[in-house]
Amino acid sequence: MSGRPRQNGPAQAKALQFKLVLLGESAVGKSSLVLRFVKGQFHEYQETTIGAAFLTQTVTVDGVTVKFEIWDTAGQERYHSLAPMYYRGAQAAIIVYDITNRDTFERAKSWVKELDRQARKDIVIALAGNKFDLSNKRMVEVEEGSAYAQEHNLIFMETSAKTGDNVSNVFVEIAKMLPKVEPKPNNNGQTVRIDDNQEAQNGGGPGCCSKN
Amino acid sequence: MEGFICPECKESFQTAGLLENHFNSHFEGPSIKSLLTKAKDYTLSWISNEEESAGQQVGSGSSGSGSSTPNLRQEHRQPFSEDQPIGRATNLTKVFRAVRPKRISHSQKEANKLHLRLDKLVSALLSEIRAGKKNLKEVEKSVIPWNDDSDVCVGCGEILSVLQLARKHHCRLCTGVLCSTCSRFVPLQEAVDAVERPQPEWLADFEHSLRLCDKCQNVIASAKEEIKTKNSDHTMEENYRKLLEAKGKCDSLVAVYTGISQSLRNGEATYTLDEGNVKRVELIKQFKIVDTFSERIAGIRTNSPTQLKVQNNVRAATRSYLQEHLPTTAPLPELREIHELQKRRLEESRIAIQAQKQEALRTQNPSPSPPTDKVGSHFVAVEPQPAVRDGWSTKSKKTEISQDIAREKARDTRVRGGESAGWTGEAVQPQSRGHPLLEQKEILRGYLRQAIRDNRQEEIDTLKQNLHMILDEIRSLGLEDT
Repeated sequence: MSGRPRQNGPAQAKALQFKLVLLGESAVGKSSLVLRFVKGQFHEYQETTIGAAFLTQTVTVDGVTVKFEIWDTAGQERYHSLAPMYYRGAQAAIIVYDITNRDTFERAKSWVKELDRQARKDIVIALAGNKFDLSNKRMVEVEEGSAYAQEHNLIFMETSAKTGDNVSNVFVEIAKMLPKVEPKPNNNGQTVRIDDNQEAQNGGGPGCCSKN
Repeated sequence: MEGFICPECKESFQTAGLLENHFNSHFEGPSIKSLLTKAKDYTLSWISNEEESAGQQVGSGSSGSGSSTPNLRQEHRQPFSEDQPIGRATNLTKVFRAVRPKRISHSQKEANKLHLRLDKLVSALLSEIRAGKKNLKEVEKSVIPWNDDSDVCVGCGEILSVLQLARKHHCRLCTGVLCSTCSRFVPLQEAVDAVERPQPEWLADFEHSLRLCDKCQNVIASAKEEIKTKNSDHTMEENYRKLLEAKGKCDSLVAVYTGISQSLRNGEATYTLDEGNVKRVELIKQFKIVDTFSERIAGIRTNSPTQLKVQNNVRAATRSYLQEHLPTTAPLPELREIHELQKRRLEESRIAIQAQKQEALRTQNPSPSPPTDKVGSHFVAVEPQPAVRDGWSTKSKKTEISQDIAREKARDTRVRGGESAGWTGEAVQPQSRGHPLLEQKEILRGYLRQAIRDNRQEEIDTLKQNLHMILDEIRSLGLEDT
């Protein structure tokens, strides 16, 4: 991790910090998602999070380095009362659900409502349907997720922490939506390049999985 | 970094509670919500404290009357506490019971005294009036000497004296002192009625009223009321209530008696003939009571045509009721007949027992068709349970064998489906021939459908359980649930 900022050396000066919080029912893969994004790893038996976990990762979008302070909250209901502490003042949130479990989707919806009510008004919310690798057992259709996201103006993606699909894309999309101090003229081509770059970054990380 | 980490200072805490306390005290500004919560907590604790102290006051009895402040506070608090808990309660029923008869007898005595006085007064007045005396006040005074000790009106408590403008009067019954405003006047005619004396004809247009106090006026009024009820036809209601009561008794007796008589006629030895006869007499008596009451109702004299109609209807209804139920009181068979009946019954039961024995002997010998049917279907329905419990993967071979047996049995049942009264074979049609578990699932589903169709709740429940277990097993094995 320490090597990466140096890698993006020139952009480091412009690094912007954003507080990002992960929310969702327990066992939907919040911690796995973060682990994949931050360390490029995947544990088949990820232990349940207690309280919350704190990690950081930087991404570069349009030449701007964005540092995410990621608060990975525990999904278990008994920790629910702690959640407001973490999403308070957060600029971004990823609400995760499990596409093979309908209930988690419903829970995700209630998280969206809660954030609408209590979080910052300008918070950028992404809805992530995780466990895309198990799409043959899916209980929540893509259309359903994306329709809901569109309705509530959320970023929507189906991800897989196991295979790494779309994981960094979610963070990059969020980074794009976040207010930059000095907005740069950008075009689509550039964006694609940066995405690729991001994937490469993850791929180059230590302990990378070859599945990607 | 994981655990109960403060999002602001990244400090880690042992428990969620500690973290929350830390966060609230350090980073939660004085928001309106927190202020409100604090205020609410404070108010609640204050109220509960108040309630506690109030409870203590009630507990300590009437000793709180010394200081006025707690009472004031309580009054002040009243609008807030809508349902105040009941404090200490003392049962005063015993005291009440002890005091009540005395009071009643006292007031009765007083009333009787006044009533006698009134009687005396009225008779004296009537005789004096007939004699042609004009100064009736003197007559009244002579019959019941006035009480002149007091100068205070018994009605309003005003002080009266000869010197004052307000004149002193006297109640003609209790002789109490009265002011003019507290005086009530009861016409002599009414007083005559109240003592149940015949009204002389000449009294009709005689004008004289008795000056009375409130209390004594009430005595006359209640006396009149009593006479009125004594003469009026309230008996209708009373009689009808009694009639209904008697009818209710009749109904229960009829039920009991029919039971006894039937049992006796069947030759059973549950009841004796005497018992039956006693009940019969009781029943007939009860019927007579019903009849009497209905007769009484019908015999009430009345001027209102509607009441007459009601009375007649009651009588008619009771008659039809009696006609309907009287046949049940038909005399019981005689003792001789009873003995015969009992003998016959004994004979019959002996034959029945013998037949049963023979039947039992026959069934013990192998008679294949009906039992296997049952056992077979039962086997299929229950079989999956042990298999699932043992864990499919470990004992799959054994279970597969049992599955095969089950399948065979199922086919057997299917063949015989038409004649079997229990599970019919139509349900047992394994559709997916892939894995025995999937097959089993289909079989169970079939049974479940059948059970639901036949509304057999217990079976539905057990089958559902079994099906769930199978489905869980299929899921854990990763078999595709089609």
